[in-house]
Amino acid sequence: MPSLLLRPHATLSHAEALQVAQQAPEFLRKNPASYSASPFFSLFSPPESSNTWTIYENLLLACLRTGDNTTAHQCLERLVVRFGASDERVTALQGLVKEAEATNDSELEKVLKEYEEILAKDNTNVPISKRRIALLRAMGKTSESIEALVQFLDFSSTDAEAWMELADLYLSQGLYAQAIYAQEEALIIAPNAWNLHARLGEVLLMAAESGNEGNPQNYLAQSLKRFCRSIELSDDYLRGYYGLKRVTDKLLDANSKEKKSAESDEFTLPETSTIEKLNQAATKKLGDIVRKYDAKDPLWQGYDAGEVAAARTYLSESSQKVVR
Amino acid sequence: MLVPCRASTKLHLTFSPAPSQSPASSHQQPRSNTMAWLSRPLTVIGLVILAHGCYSAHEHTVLSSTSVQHPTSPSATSLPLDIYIETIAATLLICLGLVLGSGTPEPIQWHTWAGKIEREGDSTSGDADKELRSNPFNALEARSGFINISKLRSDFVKYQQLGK
Amino acid sequence: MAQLPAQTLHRDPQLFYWILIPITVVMVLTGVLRHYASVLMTTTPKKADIKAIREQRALAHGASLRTNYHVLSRKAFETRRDFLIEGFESGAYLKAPNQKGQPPANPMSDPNAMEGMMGMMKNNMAMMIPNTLIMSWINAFFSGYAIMKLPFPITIKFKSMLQAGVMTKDMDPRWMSSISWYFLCIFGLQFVYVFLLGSDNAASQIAQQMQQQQMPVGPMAPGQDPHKMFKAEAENLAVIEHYSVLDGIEERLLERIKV
Repeated sequence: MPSLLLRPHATLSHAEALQVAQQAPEFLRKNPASYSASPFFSLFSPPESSNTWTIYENLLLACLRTGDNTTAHQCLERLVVRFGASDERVTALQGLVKEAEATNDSELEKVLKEYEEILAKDNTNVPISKRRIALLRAMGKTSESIEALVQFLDFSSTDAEAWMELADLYLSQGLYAQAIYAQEEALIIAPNAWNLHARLGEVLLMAAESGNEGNPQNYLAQSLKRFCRSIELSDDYLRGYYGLKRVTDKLLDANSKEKKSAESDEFTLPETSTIEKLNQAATKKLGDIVRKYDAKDPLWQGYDAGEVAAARTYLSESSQKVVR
Repeated sequence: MLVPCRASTKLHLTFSPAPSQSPASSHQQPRSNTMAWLSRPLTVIGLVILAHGCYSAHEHTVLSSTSVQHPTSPSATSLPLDIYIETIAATLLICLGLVLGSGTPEPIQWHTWAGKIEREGDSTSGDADKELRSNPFNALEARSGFINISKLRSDFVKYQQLGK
Repeated sequence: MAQLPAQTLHRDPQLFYWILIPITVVMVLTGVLRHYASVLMTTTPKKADIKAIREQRALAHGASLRTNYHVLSRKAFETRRDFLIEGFESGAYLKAPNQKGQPPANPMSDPNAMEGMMGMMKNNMAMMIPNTLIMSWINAFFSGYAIMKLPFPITIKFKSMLQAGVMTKDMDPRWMSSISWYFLCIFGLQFVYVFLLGSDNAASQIAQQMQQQQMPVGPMAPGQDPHKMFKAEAENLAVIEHYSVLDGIEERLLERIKV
């Protein structure tokens, strides 16, 4: 299934990664070791497309993940032959292979040194900068990693991927306000990304639940709006509806307890009746999605199994609460 | 396949959160099939009629230019009405055939398109179109540039041990 | 409606073999040669330095905030706007902050610009020299006769193009001279080059020229003062009347999913 090969690697589960890695030897066998630039010669070899190289990269990652180092090296070799060893992306991949093969901290330390040497020569090398940040994070030096990432974003402020990474880093440190800021920056660059809207809604919900900074009511109101927006951008978006249900449940709970504690300064909460309606709609929709997914309706099989399971448990929990 | 579809239609009638989506999509398959079956003959018939029209027009000009009586009179040089009608009808017929033969259009509204991706995922790989079938913004959450390979590796080892 | 009898000229069939085919072959070979020559001559574009990239990206960042401000809440937007306007106006994002206000340097004295111009010169020379050579070769050897007849009728306007070098007034424009065959080859061999050398070859000069015309002017057109551009962007940001896509979204969503 080529679609699995083309998906960004980090979205794959372990089983899927294994499946991808097992396809690697066959893919390597089918494709020639090098391509000619002239279409005249490529008449006699399978066509080369940009997908081919995405697949090589994904295979490389999958092989590294599953511990198949020899195949990974073969993939890397193909990439080097095609793009040259000095290509920025290829150097980053080479570093990645070294990272994966490192067994202890001192070896990782060495890889980090190499990255820093490359960056000292050419400080505009984006893939290597990203690898360095990721490596710092992997080594547990989170604050250094954040610092490096902030510096990177100062010079490349239109990189949504980096903003998302920054948000994730801040979130891991429990710095919700900063994480929300970084997420919003990513949204400015990709304003219609429905998953980013839902992600921001989740972060806001987490911030409201932690409740140690800012106004939780305000966070909840924003979170509600973000989930609404993600659904508006994508019909039948499971994650959006799940979040909507969570946040409306919470709002209704809070409303019954303490009757509009503080007027939030930024976003006002909608009427309670509206929240109730949204809650009902979300419940119905979630039930719908879960039912259709379970019934193996061919047009409803695109959801992630884990997400559907979470929705199912949450639905049964909340219905129990209602019955009581 | 039919049973869940019917159930879904009923459900939409009672609640109808997403207007006419699932009913439309469940009917798409048979409708487009019959249309595709109808479109070929329609197009072929249209082409034949069009060719006939062209041939008649050609014959007519040849005849009128060789006829000696009134070589410059307008009635002789202009085409008869039935050829016009034939040509126009044939063109319309071909258009109809081609339009019916084209597949179901892809959604052009952002939310329908996005919803379709979310709903169907890449499970419908049988489609001829190799358009991308997963959320293009997933890459922003996956962040391949920042991948933590050593953690993934150790996680995978744990996963395999669990499997055993 | 008396029809003119078709003009018939008796040509030696050898004309076809000894003029048409050689010209074509020479044209194709020159194209291939030119491609490899330009591959040899191109220097890798010099990498922009970090300050320049920062300047460009900051400007792009401002532009994306200006177009997509509606995803933010009012407060979030205002924080960003104030921050960016301050940075833009103080020149914090400039490549050379102490040079602001100075007129842009003369492009001739800027080594980067010079390099770009040299590259263009080289390309132009690689295109012009073989073309002139071949044209003079054709003019010297094959001028003055019609070599083939096009299989389709064309209007009299084409006469000057197709019968260049043949001074016969009444000849049917379908007759073609060798120099016109050469011109046709220049324009018509694109696809042969694409087939032989790949789509981004240097020999398909016309495609290149088309691309250059269509290419939008980048955010950093040379000779423009970046500080002025930053100021303009700051002004654009300042006048935005903010609205958020999140205002009243609950009702909007309910309306849509209930209908």
